[in-house]
Amino acid sequence: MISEKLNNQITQIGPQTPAGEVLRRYWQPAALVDEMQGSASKLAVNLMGERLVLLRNDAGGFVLTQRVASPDEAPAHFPDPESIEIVDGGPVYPVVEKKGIFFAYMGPGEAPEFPNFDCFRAPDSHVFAFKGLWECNWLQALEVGIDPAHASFLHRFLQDEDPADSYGKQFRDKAANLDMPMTQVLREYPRPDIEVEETDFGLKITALRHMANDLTHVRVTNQIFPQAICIPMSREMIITQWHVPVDDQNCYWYTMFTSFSKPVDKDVMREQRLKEHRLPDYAPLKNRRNNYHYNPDEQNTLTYTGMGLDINVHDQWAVEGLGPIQDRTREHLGRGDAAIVRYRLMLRKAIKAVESKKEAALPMRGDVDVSRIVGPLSNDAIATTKDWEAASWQADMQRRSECPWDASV
Amino acid sequence: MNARDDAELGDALEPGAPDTWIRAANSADLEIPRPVIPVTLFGQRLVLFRDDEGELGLIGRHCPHRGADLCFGRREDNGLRCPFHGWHFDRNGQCVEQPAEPADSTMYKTIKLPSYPVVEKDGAILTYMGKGEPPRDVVVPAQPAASATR
Repeated sequence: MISEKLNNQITQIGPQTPAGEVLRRYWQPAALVDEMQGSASKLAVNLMGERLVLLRNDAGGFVLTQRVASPDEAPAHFPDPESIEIVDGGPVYPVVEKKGIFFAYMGPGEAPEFPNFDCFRAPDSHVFAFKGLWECNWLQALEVGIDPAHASFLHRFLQDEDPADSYGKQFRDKAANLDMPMTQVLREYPRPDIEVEETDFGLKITALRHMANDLTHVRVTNQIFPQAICIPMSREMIITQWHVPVDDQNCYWYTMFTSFSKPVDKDVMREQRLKEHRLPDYAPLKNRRNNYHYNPDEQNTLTYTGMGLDINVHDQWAVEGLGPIQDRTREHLGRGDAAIVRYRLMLRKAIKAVESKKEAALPMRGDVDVSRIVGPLSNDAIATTKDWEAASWQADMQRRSECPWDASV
Repeated sequence: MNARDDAELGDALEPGAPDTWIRAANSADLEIPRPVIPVTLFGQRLVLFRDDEGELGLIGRHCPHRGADLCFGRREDNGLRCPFHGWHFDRNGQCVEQPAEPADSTMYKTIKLPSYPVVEKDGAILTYMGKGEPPRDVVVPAQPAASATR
């Protein structure tokens, strides 16, 4: 439980808010490159409580500036590009394009360099980007991503699919080197030991599921400061996902799916996701207003939620159900929430650093050479219990050594 | 867990709850394959359900862990289970299991949702939200006191 004052401090992101000022010290995903079709020169962007427009300039580059907006427009409003009016004299934010996403820097001073994470380092052929709207505050969206225990419940499948049909789907692959679907591991071992370690990019979160026959399943996921996660999706792919505020009560997830060995099948990935979303705002078709297509019979026999097989919908239900801004004065965190507690401490420390003008103390800012920040390692492995640490490292090294692009760490 | 903590697990009870039995729903409302419905009474967001023994529970709607909506809970093991992390609640709102927490954890014993007494009479489901003990004579009010909307 935290106080209302602290909850406001760590959730609100408008200009001049404490957390908003921290987030503005980092590049923020602003739009998908897919959204700026053909020769279009303007695209509405709703980001960090500001009503903006992405502009293509004469040199073929991009900037983000303010657009005229009416106070009653929807949070994720996308006016026709022709009707967008630019605010004269508004701020102009720099924009760069990275692997299918336009990133904007909305903070003061020089924008930082990009770290050498796998998603930025892999060739374009090996990275696919998509996004989706969630109607809730960004922090509760992030917190479900740094909570390794929820996958054993919220994403529980009461029957296992053939892992051969798992392409592009989370948790449907075989678990590491065992001939056991990941869904079965999660279901049968629901009480992970969770270890959280501070790193130069954020947090390394290790979930250990001790299995029969002295085996341990090791799942390594990461929090990348301030609002991204990096997690394994399958043996072939990892997910890097930002939870980006539209305003205080809405956010987009932006995901880069990064493949180690084979190029990503972008057509399959895009089609799988477009059929669950509407354009142009990338709002999910299953949502609060239609009870996420909740089906009690399915909840009895197939999935834990009764909301279909797409785990994104499960997460969306969980985080939107907490309210537009989760009331953390009523929460009761347990030992399974260790990474959430640790992350909030990091965010509060960063808020203090910005307020006391010690910005060099922020993760990946100051004199840090971020080009040396690589990985992070995100994977599933199974090993005899005493060897889990080495086995987890080894599994990642093998994948990296067999990869056609330079994934060395 | 003391009374003050209990109150913090749910929405604040708005003033105005009478010292009489009030109608929370009709029995017919629960004559559905999965008898679990949301009920809002005097500002409290609640969930009304029938457990495996056929008994009724009227308990806080949001899981005390992080706040997930128990109207989508799994009706199993004679109670309601939160789909987020499996916390399990009985018809009195008592948390009886936290299956993601370490096996030696006894935290669940300290977690209880607000709950209200429920009786069923003449096709009505009645509850008491007033001060002290509910009246022994159960009188069915003519009008429902609540709207049951999700």
